[in-house]
Amino acid sequence: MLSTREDLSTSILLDVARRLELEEFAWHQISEIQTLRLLEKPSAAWDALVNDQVEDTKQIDLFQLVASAWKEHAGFEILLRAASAFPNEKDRTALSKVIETLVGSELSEAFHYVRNVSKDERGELPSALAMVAARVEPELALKEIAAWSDDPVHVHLQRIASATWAQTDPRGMLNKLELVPQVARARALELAFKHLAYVSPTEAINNLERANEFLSAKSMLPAIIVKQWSHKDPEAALDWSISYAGSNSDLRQHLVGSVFRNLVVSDLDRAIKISGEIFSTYFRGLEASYDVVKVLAQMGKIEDAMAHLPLLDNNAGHFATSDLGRMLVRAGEPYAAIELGANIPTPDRSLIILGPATYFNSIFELWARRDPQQLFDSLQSLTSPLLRSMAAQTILDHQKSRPILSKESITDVEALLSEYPITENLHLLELQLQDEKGLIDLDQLVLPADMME
Amino acid sequence: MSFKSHVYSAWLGELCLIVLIGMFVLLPLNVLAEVDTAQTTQSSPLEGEQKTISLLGDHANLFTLNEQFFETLTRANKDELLEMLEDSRDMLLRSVKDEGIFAIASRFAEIDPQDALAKSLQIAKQEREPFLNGIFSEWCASNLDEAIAAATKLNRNERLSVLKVIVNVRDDLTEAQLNTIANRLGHPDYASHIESQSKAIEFAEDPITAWSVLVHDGLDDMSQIDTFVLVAEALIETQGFDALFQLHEPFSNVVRRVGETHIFDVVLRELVENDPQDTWEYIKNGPSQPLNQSFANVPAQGQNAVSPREQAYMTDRAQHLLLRFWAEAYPDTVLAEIEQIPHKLQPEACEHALTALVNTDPERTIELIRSLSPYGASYDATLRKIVKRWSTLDPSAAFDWVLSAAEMDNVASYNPGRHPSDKLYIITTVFRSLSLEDPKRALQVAALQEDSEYLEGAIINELARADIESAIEVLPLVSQNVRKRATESVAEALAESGEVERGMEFLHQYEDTSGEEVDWVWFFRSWAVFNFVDLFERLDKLEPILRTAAAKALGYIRLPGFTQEQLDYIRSIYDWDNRPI
Repeated sequence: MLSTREDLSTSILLDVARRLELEEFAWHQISEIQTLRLLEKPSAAWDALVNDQVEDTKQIDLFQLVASAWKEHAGFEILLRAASAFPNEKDRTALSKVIETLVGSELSEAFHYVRNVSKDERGELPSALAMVAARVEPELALKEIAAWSDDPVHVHLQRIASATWAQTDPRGMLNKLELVPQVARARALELAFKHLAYVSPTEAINNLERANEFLSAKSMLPAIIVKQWSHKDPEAALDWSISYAGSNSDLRQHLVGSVFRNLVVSDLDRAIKISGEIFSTYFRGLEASYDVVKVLAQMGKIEDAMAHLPLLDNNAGHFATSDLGRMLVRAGEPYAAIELGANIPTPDRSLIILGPATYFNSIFELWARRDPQQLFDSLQSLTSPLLRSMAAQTILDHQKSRPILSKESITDVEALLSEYPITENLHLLELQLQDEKGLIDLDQLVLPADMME
Repeated sequence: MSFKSHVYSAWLGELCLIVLIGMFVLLPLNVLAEVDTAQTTQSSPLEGEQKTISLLGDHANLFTLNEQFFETLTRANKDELLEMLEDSRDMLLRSVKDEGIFAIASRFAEIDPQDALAKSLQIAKQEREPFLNGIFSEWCASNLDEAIAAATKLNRNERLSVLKVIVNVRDDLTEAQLNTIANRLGHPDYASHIESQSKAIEFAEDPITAWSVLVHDGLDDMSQIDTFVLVAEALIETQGFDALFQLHEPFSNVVRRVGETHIFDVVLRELVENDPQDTWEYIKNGPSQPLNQSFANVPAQGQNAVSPREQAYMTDRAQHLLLRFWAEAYPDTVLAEIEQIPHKLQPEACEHALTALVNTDPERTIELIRSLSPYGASYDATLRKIVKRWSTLDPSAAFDWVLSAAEMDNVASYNPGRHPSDKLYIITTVFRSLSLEDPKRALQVAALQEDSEYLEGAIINELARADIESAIEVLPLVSQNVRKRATESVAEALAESGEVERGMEFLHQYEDTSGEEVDWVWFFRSWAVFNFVDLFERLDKLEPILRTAAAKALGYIRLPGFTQEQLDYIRSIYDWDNRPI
């Protein structure tokens, strides 16, 4: 209709577009028509584009067209107009695309021009120019940037140009690695290997030895290779990891850890088998069996994840149970979460003071946030006085910011809490519970002053 | 599909477009000139401009006209084609004009591609792209090598256009062949995108795998955003909104870099904007059918049976994800219909809708924080988010409200295991923002607060990173207890922006005038963040105490870009593993 019914006014076309839920598309088309109409006066066309109803980043092709037309009259001055239309860091890529048509064949001249623009005026222009140059002629880009060394911005531009080169032409960049400035080399290698290892692990491995000569962190690139490889073929990535690491146990830990999450997805039995050899990739200090439960949970397999809980030691078991308990609340089954918490393991106290109190507090917090009325209605069904008081305390805390319960209800909650008062300090409550179980002697512990209060 | 049939279908496809859309404009200048078509003058949709166009009452003749156009085009010689090209210039709509030019150029290339290419150099810039596309869509089918050789002489943008044409038309070529062509045309980056896209297409029947390819391919995600959205929409179409869970949760451990846009956020925003009705319906009522039923239509998925509990969890996550963007896009609707939203979503609905609303109407937002508090509008998290947004838009107004609002009384001033507390976070947020607008007032009021030292430090820190000269100017106003740390902050900001000499001078000056020693390690750390190679190269020029501090800083941060020899040298000056007692 936009193409054919030129006889209709803008407002009628927009009305039709709204009825078809295509208003944004209509604005785009209308803006395009207007811009092309004004193309003989590029400055007017540019202003129309900047001030229309369409996001500038969705009109890159039109900006390119107008800028090209304008450059014939205004030369590189148009670069400043472009920079003012795309002033923020997040617009940098868009700005680079707009100016690519203007500077692509005159890179040196463009660098010369931008170097002489004041810092206040230039905005994202140096960065965008570095991106364009790195896409078009990366070696020239780095040479031009090096010539800018009297301005601190050159370090930033070296990083941008190197990263752009690595992303747009990883193979080309790796072939000329020595040209990449040292300050930007590690990041550039990371980007290049991330892509190369995904499309061709063999090619990445072939480049590994030479690339590693430039780095002190010798495990960084192998870890990227196996992680990327494991997205497509975890078993092959694992086998290579073990073979490459040889007798270097730290490297083996690192590489197998990089593969582990994808191995859980592809071969659960093998993952469980090797989980004793490595640490968790989520929490330092936990065993990797925690990752098994975590990955299953992230796949939405709650039942499978719960079935694996008994395999975990106390530390990993506590965190995994906490994760699953919150998932059950989110699944609308808070009672199942309470049931799950009945046997929650207490982690090593020298590691962290956590236990049932922390678990149930997080369950009640989530429940109260999602449905305070339902938690209130459930109070009487909680048979444990401790749990009832913890739930009551949570309700009172929430009522301050979210006054949803009646005064009578709050009086009832307060009465319940007074039957079995508990401290509001969670760590102290945890220690009291451990004391009750005979796990510790609270009287022998020296506690911080705020805990005693 | 062989390339010949592809070309044929592409050709017909283009013609079809011309026929259905472009013809009515092209033909009046060529074929339609002979047709007795009524003409009229209509008011233009824009700016009241007047333009003569053909009436559309002849829809019944379209097929005849199409046939005539096709015949004319296929019979036209070079001169007639040039005449048609000339006529096409009068067309207003770019898309229609481009399609006409494409068809003419294709025919031209069929007769004489070299001459067609020569002609392309003479035509206006905005007409060149469709003309070149037309030439090369024909040429790359008839003689690929010759076409590529000719294309290498074009400019970079034009070479990219040609490459895209080749990729579209010549789907008989292997990935390796396309890589070679992309390199010859100076667009190795595009070859990478082709690799990724072709893999995504390969998994078209399995959107979750296609999504995985896009996430992990190592390419810039933002430049593939359209494909991300298409894959997500394909998944929703077959498996419903619950399946969004599969695109989010398994990938949620990808660390978000500060300042970078997370691709999933962009996709969700697009999904909501592309289909506000269905997404809103899902947020309010959940899925219309069980997930297992949806998966039943997708045997390739290999998905195990999903339990009702698991489905409920997936629905919950997907509802939360969509709600955030729905509330940001349509805050008024969300706030007006807050009672119809499930209880579990109401606090987040308030949080995101009020944060969006504060952009345009802070006064109403404040009123709603109070009136909607039973729905969670005055939760700490909500206030944190609203104030954060508001303070960037109107620092003074947000500042005054935070320091006087009754709602702040209920905000937690202690959060176990977390510093700052929610209350101090909100107060610090407004002081930080005010420091950019009125640093003197910010410092004066901060001095009167309970956490004055923390706030003054935060103010200088913020200001130093946004406007270093202002930070230096107000430094004397900072209380004595904070002066040393504030000076260090300013020096660190100078180092991070590359003004390392000035930063050092600044710290020396402070030591000389105050008699206090500053912490040089943090300064050198900032220098290393800016340019660790520069700091390393200047190590030996530093006086011994500073040299040790610099080595300590260089050894403290992870810098894989150093070579082993450089690291050994740094350790010979200061070794973290064998620290001096």
